Amino acid sequence: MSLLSTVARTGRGQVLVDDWGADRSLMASVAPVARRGWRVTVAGAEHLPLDGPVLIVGTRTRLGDEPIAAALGLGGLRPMHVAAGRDVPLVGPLGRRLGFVIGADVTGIMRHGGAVVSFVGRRGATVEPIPTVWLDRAISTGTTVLPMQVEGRLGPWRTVRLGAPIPVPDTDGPLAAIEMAEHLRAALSGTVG
Amino acid sequence: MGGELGTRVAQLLEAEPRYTEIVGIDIDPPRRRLRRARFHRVHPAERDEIVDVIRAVDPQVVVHLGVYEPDARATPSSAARRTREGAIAVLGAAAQCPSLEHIVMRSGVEIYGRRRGAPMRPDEGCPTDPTTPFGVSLAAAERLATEAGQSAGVSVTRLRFSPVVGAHFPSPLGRLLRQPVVPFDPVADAPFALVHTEDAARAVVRAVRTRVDAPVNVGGRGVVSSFQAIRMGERIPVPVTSLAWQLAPALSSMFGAPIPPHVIELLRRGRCADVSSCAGLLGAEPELTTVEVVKELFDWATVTTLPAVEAVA
Repeated sequence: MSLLSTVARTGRGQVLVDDWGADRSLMASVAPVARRGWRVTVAGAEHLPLDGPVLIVGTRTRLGDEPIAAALGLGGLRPMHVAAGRDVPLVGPLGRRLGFVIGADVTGIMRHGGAVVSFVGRRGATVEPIPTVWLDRAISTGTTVLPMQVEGRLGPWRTVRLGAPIPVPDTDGPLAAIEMAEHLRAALSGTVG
Repeated sequence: MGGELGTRVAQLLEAEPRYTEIVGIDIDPPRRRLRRARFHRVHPAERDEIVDVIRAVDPQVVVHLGVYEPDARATPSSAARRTREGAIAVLGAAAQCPSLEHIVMRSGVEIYGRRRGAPMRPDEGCPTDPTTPFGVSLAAAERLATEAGQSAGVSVTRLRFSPVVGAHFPSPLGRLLRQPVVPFDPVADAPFALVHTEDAARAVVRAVRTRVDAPVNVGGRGVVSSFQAIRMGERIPVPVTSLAWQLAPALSSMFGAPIPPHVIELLRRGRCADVSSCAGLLGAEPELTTVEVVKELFDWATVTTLPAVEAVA
């Protein structure tokens, strides 16, 4: 579907957004244009379940394009939200149309059985702590949690590499999320640097 | 019991024989015919009279729907005052009734607020942080209901409705969307969800039956953006941005459709909530999706003038 026909259909009020405000037809129209700037391949796609809730956690540098690479690479595999949006005028609403959400929406998407990519910051080889609220919700909703790394810093080529699912701890209670966060952080640290 | 929602709830309760005595209080008389229910026309400010009616009945269940949306049936200041006065009188009196077992109250998703950085679809566990006068009013009413429930030792269902809309339901949003020319924010065009009056009434009756002691978000599935809603009704969308939103309510008010702050917030920041708990807590979820509610809103029956069969002297 061309961008022009999408704009025309939107103008007639025929295009509906999903529960998170993403306009799938706009995303499908914009993706080919974006793929001219980014050549993204996905490794480890076999780890990504094609239905059910999924939380993919990657690391992100301050000015990195990891969210765009993740959206382009993983968005082709199943409908995906990327928690890298900013709740500010202009940028926020446009990002929402293109499938970007804010960090506060991550747990809600898991609860709805959706797939979401979220990021923690890193400096060099040091990965910042992972919010346990994400993992609390992941445990309570039976969400599959995958580590992710975006490789390739120069030029248009990027590889989005998904790791094996993080095992859900046998222990129950508040320690479970912390334990899972440590596993996830270790997995991310192992793939960084 | 006088408004569209209250009257419909009373009708649905009347249809169930287990509810032996149904008594209602409102500022306006019922909109439709009620067969068994008894109605008392009392202003929310007449606290003593409300307290007398409730004490005399000594109800097992109190359904408090007296939440006045600004610019729906009352001006913003009057709506806030009526909501406050009604909640104090009804819930205060209910808490003193020895037979009381359960309270159901109407609230709204405006209670979550739409501050920057807030989740787009808050669930019932999200903290309430109202950002409009209507949201503040709802939060105060919920607080009173919770206190009344604690005081009486009974369960309280707080039904947090998405904006309630229906072809005949007084709603500033519904009225605005039916104007021939409707403002929208092209920069935001945020999504929102709605619930139909009939679905809202059924949710109230289910809450009376299930007696859940918790807040429950109630809304139709799916969302629409303001632009989509305007185009679905084949109205003319007028882009309004930034400071022009200061002017738009005054202009719209001149044409009979005032835009209160919570509707401006809906148009600019969206208004959704996670309604996935509704089916589990109340036993069913709204039948109409948000898109269907919007379609129904615009689906006015055409008025056909029939010629007289014979001249009347």
